[in-house]
Amino acid sequence: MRFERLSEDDSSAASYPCEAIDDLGLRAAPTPDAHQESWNRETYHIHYRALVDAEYRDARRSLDADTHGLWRTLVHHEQKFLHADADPLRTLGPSHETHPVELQAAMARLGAAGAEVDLRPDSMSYSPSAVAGQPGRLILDPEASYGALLHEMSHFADDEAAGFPGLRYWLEDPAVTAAGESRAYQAEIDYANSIGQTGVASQLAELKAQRISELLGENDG
Amino acid sequence: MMGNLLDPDLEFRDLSVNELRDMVSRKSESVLRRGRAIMELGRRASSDTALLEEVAAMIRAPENRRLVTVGTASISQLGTAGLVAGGGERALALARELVEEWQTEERSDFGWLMRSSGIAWPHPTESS
Repeated sequence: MRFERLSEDDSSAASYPCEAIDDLGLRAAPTPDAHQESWNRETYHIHYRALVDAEYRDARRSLDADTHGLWRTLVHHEQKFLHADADPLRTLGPSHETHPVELQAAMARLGAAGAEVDLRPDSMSYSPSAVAGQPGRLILDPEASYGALLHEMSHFADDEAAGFPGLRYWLEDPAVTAAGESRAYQAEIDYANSIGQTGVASQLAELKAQRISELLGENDG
Repeated sequence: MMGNLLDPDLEFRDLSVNELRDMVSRKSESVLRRGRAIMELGRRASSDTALLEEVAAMIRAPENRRLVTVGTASISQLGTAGLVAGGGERALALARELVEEWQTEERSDFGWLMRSSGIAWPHPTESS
């Protein structure tokens, strides 16, 4: 068995084409023309809806058949604690319905930076690349809320602002990483408060405290 | 620039195995430092058969598979990355074996971590 370092000119090594963005037609430059913008938005909706439908087709089929389907599997299988497990704003609707323009802008920003986007039900996370100088990967639940999108984009923005320093950087100083987590949760909390969801904001504040405690190592348990 | 995740961890390489072991299991420790500690143990295990088995048990522990450091990188994934970083046929074979035991998403996440660090690693569909 051999594990080889990929050569630097191997395009599969660190920068993967963002197929999700390509599928959505989001690499096209924005236009100031209102009619064109409206058409783009409609096209985006159609393409995004198709992707979401494809992702959830099996789940719906299972539910319709009243079987132990994908949804139940997603809830019970040994999955890591990713952000989608804690997306209390999801009850207000997915970002592609509540904030389609903002979602499109986020996808365009990720695409322009060369970040990979992976559509995956019930998962939300931004992972820095293992090597410095490369953007990371955003795992996006197609049904995630706008608040969850704000959270993960905050992590991407921090990584970008630091010059994509690589995963090692984010592992080395718990205070730096905890500060980033605090900003990400705060973006979500501020949004929840701005739409009057103070109860959700309180839930998010608890999740924030729990996660920061893990990062800083202040758990007693 | 901080280089590659698989590069030697200059701060942790001077710690003893006992110190690293304690750090991995200490729940009051930062999850980030627990991840770096298991990764350093994984590196050293390539030349220590007993340690290899111990690290494998740590990587298999459900709580370490669930506990996330940054992004999708769990404690277990960093330990496995340490095995890859340490190199050697036995450590690499063990890394492959452990990854095969994981769910598709975990295998996919680890594969991305490896490929983003410049290591050729099969996609989940190729390895199962």
